[in-house]
Amino acid sequence: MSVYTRIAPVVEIRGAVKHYRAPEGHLVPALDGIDLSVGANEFVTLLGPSGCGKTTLLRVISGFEQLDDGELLIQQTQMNSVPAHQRPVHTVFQSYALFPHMSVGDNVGYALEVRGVGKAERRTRIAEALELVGLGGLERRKPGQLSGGQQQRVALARALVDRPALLLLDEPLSALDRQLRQSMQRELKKLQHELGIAFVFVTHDQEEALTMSDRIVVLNGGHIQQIGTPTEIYDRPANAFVAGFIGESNLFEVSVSAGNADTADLLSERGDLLQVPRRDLQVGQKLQAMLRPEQFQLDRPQAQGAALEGKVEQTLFIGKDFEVSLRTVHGSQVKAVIRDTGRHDLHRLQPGSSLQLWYALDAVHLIPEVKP
Amino acid sequence: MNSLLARLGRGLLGGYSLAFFIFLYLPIALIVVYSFNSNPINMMIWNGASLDWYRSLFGLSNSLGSSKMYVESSDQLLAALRTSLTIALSTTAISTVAGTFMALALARYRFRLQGFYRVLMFMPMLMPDIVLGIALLIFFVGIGMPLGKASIIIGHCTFLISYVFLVVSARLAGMDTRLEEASADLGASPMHTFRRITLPLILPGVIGGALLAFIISMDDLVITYFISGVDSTTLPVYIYGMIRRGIKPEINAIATLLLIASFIIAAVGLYLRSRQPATTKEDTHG
Ligand SMILES: Nc1ncnc2c1ncn2[C@@H]1O[C@H](COP(=O)(O)OP(=O)(O)O)[C@@H](O)[C@H]1O
Ligand SMILES: [Mg+2]
Repeated sequence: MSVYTRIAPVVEIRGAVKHYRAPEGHLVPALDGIDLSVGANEFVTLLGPSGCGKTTLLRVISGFEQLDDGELLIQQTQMNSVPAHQRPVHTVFQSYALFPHMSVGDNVGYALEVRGVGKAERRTRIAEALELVGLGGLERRKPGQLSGGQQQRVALARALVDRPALLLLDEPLSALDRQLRQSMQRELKKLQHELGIAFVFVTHDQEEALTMSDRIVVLNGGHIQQIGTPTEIYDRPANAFVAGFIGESNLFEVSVSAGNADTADLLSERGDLLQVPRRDLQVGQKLQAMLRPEQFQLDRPQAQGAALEGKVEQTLFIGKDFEVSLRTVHGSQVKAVIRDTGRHDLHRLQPGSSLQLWYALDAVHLIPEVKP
Repeated sequence: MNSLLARLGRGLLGGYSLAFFIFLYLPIALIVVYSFNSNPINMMIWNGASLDWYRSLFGLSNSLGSSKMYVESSDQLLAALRTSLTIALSTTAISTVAGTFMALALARYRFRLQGFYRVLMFMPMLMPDIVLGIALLIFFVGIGMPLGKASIIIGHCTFLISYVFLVVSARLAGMDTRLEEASADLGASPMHTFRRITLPLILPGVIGGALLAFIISMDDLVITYFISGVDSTTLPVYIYGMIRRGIKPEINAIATLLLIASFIIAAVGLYLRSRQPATTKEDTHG
């Protein structure tokens, strides 16, 4: 459990189940037993492939979908059947959903207008909110007269103007070009930190999730695959899905073939041999072993290490690094990213040449076999 | 060879279009021209320009002298116009409100037999006027309702609600439902959302539907003919009666005035359309 959830959580979801009725009549599961709590001031990202239930989970929290089963608490209050407009939660929609017939100022001030805040106070708070997102002075414009990035900021200002307890963001950056997206990522993170509002952020972009989040919730098929900090998720994925979805990885189906004093040998199905620290492995135990491409190096590491041997199939220069595809003597494909330190003689990476890829034993991450 | 064929094709198409527009607009143009013809005996023979028929319509003095027949007919004509306006305005108000809410209900809520209701809303538009007229007549007589303005208003509403429904539904279909969700998300009650978001965005459709209902109600002859009583002669029914008693040149003047009124209404409709925001449906990505 992270440090955040021990303070009173903003949102708690327990055993959430949600089905949609397909046009053909059968039920499609969208959420299948979700347990999640989001702490005040926490930046939580829902990450998963398209159709895994991210939007559904957000819409359950904001009140546009009802749970079939399970419980939703917002600020310790049961909210399962509270209508959307009575929940202390705002959403930044993927399509922005700005009101086209209202000025930017009226859009931003909408939540205040709804609450009956007086005109004068509204004006100063609209100006503040626009200032916050770097759009000061654009009150009079119509949304149609703004660029996509500016519309995005207006949507953000509109959702933040009355400081909700929780902000939901459904792939808010996916419509922006790469450069704008990266600068918005930093700004969002900074804003969230300064305002101290909990964010639940949806993305299918793992890089975005890794850079922005306090915690990442990896979803697939309506199930939570793993919840953890970015480094936990990246370094110690809970299963093969997480390992494959986040970053690049080399996965080996292995069984423990021998245990030595302080190391264990793992034999892959194809016959490759890996070595790991002994830990508490039993001979015969089946596992998955994961090595990230950047954990390989060309020379024997200082710490206890081992190597995979094979022939180079392809080498790509990807700016500062070389991406090497190796076919081991047993036929497995291994991907490695080798930093170009200027020291390596590049002929070793020529396609066709033999190569040893070294790794530190404790870099190997082991995923226990999931019982069917 | 090819270009020759293309030129020939273009020429034929151009000629066809021209013939089509002449076919469509020549009779109308003739009516407008003849409404200024001063020949009182035979309106097909041009006898110099005059505004006499317009004067006569409004009971003003004119070179035709104030023969009893003309004065009488102008009173009746104005009475018919008043009846038509009363009916058209009432009908427009009722069918605009009812049609708009029908469209909202069918677009925004899910309920059983929804598709069936949608088809039901289209039916009155497809039904032959004469069938609808007879059906309404039998219905009113059956329930013992006297024929008059009220029966005409009810009769017009039965099919004009469909027209308003259609126009507003088209507008609603082009509106992003997420705008209403965004409004609720920001704390607005359903009533507030309707007033501040939904209504302003569908307003061009509502006004368009209202104008359409007004024009059709003003113009309807067949259905009205069946269900109008003796004291509720509408303008189209009156004109039809005039023609049966022999075509008088004033008819040209009436037709021209109606034409101008229709143009003004259509122009207002087009103006309102051009003022609406360019897009209400944002692109969605991913
Ligand atoms: N309104 C709906 N009707 C039927 N099925 C839906 C509806 N909305 C979503 N689904 C289905 O539910 C699953 C989860 O969808 P969603 O939450 O939108 O996924 P994500 O946002 O992760 O892409 C998908 O299989 C999707 O097809
Ligand atoms: Mg989605």
